[in-house]
Amino acid sequence: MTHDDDASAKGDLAGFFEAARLGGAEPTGGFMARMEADALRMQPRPMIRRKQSLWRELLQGLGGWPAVAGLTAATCVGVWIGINPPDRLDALLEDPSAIQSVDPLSGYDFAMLEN
Amino acid sequence: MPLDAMHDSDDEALLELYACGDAAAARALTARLGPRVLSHAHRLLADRAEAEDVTQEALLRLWRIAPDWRRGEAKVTTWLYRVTANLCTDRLRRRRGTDLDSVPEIADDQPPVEVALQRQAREQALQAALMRLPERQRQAVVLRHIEGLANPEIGQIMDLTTRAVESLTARGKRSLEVMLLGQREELGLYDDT
Repeated sequence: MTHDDDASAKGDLAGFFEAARLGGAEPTGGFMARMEADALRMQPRPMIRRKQSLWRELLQGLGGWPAVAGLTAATCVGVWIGINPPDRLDALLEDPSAIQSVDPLSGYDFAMLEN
Repeated sequence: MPLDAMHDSDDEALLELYACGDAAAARALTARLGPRVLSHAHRLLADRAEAEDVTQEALLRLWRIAPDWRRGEAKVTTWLYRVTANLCTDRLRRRRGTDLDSVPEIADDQPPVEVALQRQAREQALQAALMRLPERQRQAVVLRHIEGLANPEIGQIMDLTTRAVESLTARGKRSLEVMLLGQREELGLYDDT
């Protein structure tokens, strides 16, 4: 139904309805102040983010307690290897030719690829 | 959010802000919805003090459910009109019998001559006629022809199909015509105002 149809459908009552729309009960200032006070009183409190300690922020930044435990274990192993390195590691570090001899892709592999 | 910027926000967005503790949203919603609820309650009850009580209670209920409001399920105004109508119905039931003394007088002895008085006379006559309608008819007519809501929305508010709303408003309007149009001379009302 269009607005015009609607107006004609209201017929002679249109003037009465219009008067009611223009009139209506106007709220007083005191009433609106009471309504506003109610709204503010009933309002949930805003979520306040508490400031965290530096240690807690660091802990969260690393990924929590499980991540810190893993890091600690890895550090201990590293320190232990530094203090008491395994014999084979010493031999490897003392003999540079041992490192030079590392051949990830040998001549044999190349020969196989060409075929 | 500043109060000015809230004029463009819809009711649901403001209600979300309200639930997050935004005081400006509380003020904006009160200013927007308070007068509408009061006006509607006054039309259904024809009693200023009772309309104010109903408005206060309806808004308190809105504030209470604000944190649980599910966006998109219903319009805030539809929900409020529904709550307001239910509260008004409770009060009307409590009145026990029609206390016609509380209904505004239809006519002044002196015929009004100015436009403002014409409007006032029409408004009072309509209000008095509305109070003589059955409650559901009155509610449907007020929502349709004074609040200007569409029939489907009125259906949501009143728990009726759109066809039932159409039928209810048509019957209500016919009764109003019988009550009001036959008494225009008596009421001192004239056209073209």
